[in-house]
Amino acid sequence: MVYKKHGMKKKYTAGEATAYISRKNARKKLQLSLADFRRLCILKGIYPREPKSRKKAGKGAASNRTYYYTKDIQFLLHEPLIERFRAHKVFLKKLKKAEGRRDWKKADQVRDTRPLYNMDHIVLERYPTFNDALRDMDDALTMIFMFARIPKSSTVHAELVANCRRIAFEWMNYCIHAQCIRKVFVSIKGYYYQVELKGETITWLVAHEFAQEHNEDVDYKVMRTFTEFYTNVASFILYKFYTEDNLKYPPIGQNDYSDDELVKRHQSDLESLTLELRKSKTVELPEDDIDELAAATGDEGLQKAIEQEKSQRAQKNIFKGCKVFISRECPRSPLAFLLRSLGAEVSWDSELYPGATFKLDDDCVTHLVIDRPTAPQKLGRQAVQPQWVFDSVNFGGLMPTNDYVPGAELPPHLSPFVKEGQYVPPDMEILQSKARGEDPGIGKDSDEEVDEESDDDAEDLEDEDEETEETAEPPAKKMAKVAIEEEKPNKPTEFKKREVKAAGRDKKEPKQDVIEAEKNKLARAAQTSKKRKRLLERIEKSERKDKGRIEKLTTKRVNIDAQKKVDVKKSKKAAKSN
Amino acid sequence: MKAQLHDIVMPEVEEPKTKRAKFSRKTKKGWKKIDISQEEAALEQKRFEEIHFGGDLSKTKDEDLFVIDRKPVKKKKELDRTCYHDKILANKSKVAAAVPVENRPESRKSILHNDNMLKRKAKIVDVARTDLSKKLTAEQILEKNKGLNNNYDLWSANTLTEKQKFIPAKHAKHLRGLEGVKAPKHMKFKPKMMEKVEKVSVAHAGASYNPDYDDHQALLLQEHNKEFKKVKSEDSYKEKAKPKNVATEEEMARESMRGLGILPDEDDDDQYETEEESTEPGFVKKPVRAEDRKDKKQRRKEKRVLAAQRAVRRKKQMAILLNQFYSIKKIKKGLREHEKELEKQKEFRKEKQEKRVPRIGVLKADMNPDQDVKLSEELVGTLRQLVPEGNVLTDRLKSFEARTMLEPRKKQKRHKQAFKTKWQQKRTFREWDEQFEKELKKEEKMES
Repeated sequence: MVYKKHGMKKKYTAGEATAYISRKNARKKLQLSLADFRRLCILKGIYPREPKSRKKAGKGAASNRTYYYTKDIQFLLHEPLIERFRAHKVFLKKLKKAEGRRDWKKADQVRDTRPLYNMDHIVLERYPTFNDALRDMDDALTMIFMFARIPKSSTVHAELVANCRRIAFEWMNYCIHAQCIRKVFVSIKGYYYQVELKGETITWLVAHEFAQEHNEDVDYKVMRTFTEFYTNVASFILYKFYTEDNLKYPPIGQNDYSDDELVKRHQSDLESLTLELRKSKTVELPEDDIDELAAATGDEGLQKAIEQEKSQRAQKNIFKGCKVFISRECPRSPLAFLLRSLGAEVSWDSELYPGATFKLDDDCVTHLVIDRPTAPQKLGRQAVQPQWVFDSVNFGGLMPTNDYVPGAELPPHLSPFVKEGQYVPPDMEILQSKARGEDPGIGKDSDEEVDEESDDDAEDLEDEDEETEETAEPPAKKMAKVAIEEEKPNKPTEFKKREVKAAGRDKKEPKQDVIEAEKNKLARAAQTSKKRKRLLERIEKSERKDKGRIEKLTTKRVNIDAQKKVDVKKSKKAAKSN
Repeated sequence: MKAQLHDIVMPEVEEPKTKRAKFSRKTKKGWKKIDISQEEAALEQKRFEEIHFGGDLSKTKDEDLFVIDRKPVKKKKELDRTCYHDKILANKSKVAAAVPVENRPESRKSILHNDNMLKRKAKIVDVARTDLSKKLTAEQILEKNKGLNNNYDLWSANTLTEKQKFIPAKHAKHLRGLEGVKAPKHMKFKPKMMEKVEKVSVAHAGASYNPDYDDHQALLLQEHNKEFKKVKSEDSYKEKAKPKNVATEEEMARESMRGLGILPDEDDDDQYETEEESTEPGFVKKPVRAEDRKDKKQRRKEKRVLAAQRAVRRKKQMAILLNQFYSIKKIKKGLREHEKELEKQKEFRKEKQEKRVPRIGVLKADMNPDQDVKLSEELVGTLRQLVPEGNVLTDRLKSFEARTMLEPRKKQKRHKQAFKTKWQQKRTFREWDEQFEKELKKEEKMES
């Protein structure tokens, strides 16, 4: 008998002991197998939580167990999916029985009764708004593009793979239509793409072709469940995107799944990435004339916004007018995706893949993307290596093709994902100026004569800059720039480089302003509250740390460059004396 | 059709044999004797026509095959400058490029190919977005969205009302805007690591397929340091795991020779041992003698002395306390410093707590997984020659674990059989075997 003393409560009947529930107990409560429980949690977005005190949560046992919120598990009890899981269990039993008896007819009948379910309500529950769902697309796309690649197996069903493949290419086709690609980075792992849609930046990774090996350590069941959910979310998102842009969804012809040939044809059309998306309405929305709008308003802020929009529109169409033929050894789909997104027309060998639009011999071909030491020569056509496309996308302008001639040693492919305030190698500035169509006076031989020349060049450029600035930039900014320029010629070239670099890879100046404003606000608030003060201190500390690191690297670079100069001079002297 | 008929050599079609061979058709062997050359030839003919004319020749109209040449004959023929080898190698087939077929669902098992399943799926999917007052037949529903689901706007305002119709009351309870079971409030707040860790962390700039020198070196250094730390800690474990106070070989040899009188300093050792014995501390308490016992008078005196000492001490302490009144400023300063120290400690603890990775399972998540790198000599300048690194699925799993979306797990090894199976000959067989061998030997002897 346990006597309850006056004012004493039994241990572990309130607080953390009841707020958390161990995985084992949760399973008991839901009457699910571990695999089903995991599946349910993944689908519903319920994650394990760490209790503040393990001992209290474990009712005295402090071992490292997995805990969930009890409320979460109670919520799961009401999930209709559980019922379907149980039905599936019964279905499997029936199927096994029929197959065990080698009664194939019965087995086929049973197979027809496979319990189905849909998870629309879960998607809506987890993402109450469209943008909530978009925010989770990073994960979703990476998984979908991954599963679109892997071979089917006993754990990864062909249906899921086919579904992923369809969604992946529908997504790419939409991105082409929306012209939303911002960045691309070709790493040894695969391609990182970044797009901007509805104000959300979405980054995802697509592995190189033929690269993925089966990894035994990964639990495919878990990954499959994630992907299953993400395909559902993605297809809802795609429907919304397509219909909002007056496009028909699905983009390929009415799906007649009884005709295998037709399905294949449609799929290949989709995957060729040269498909014109079908419009649901014939009414064409006229593109709003920005110039008119600019002329009509006198508001300075609006003018600025219009300027930004203009430059963005120009960046969206850097490949406009280019007709690019992709050689067969180049990765077709990433190149076609990027080129088409930014306004180019693409084609390839018609034997290689369906969907080719023109031939290599056509006179209209302006560029040939080729990855061999030599390329067939033709007048009016420029042969480039694939990196030309990637760099052009990142720098927002056509790179000069002479750096990317087949067989030439390529400039480094720099990551556009480097964050603000991080160290930026000097090559970046050179490439950036090239993308702007300027002649970079940096990085050349550092002989004195050349130095003078480059200085002249720089001055010339500055003159040009000033001319363009008069129309483009507000006066205050211009003044600041002129002030910098006045200082420039006196400084050694090394320092000039640093200054430009401070602009960074990310061109997000408005964001910088916001950060600065936020900081000022904090500084003001710091005078009143201790908490704010500490927060500010912490921010400043980390900034100082970053700054120190950058300084270290830059001084290192200066030293290396100086050493190079000395070496060159020495070698020249030696050559003269010989 | 530009291809001219006389350019192409038609495959000969053999005349069918009228005489029918007599043989049994009962076995497989017999089937092979059936002459199918006729069928093969016909198929070959069909394929030939498809490749060269893009379809059945007999069905094409004459107008399609032949063109009345109305143009005047050109006097000068343009020179065809394409090389002969190019002409040979050029693709003349009129059949379109094959569509790559990968992972196509098998017809039997797939939902998409199963009409019954399709109907049922359509029912489930479509009731949500069709007007229930108009009753559609299963076929109509099927026609409306064949095999595809999710093609309706989930987030539009009127979906919800349709959804209400669709979902049975007991399940609809916890959906948005409906009464009944509500999702717990904390569902909105994801675990802190999900906010902290990036969803898709982009590879280091040095992991570019054609990296900048500085970036690449930075990545190599970073990974080197990580590896170096790992190796070092492993070494330190090994060092710690080494048994201590183990006799060296020299000591072992010395020990084995002890007592034989070979060692030069053996005598000294003995002396040392005896000395040790003599200085051994005694553990036995000395017995109290009667004359040592204190009498009452002594005890009283002792008490008095002790009380006096105590009084003096108290007095002194009071004096100190009184004196502190004059040094309040100093004390306050000390207190403030102490408080500051405490504050610092508190902050430090808080920072540490913030940095701490929550532990949600038996294993710890790998927060800083090894990056894929290419060594300097492995770098190739072109995309074509690139050998990709890494596995996306492994990365994803690690990311999920780092964000505490999944508890970290390790794949368990399958248990091997506890005992090795022993193989044994049966006794009867063994005996027979032995006897047989004996006989063999005998025979050999006889022969020799």
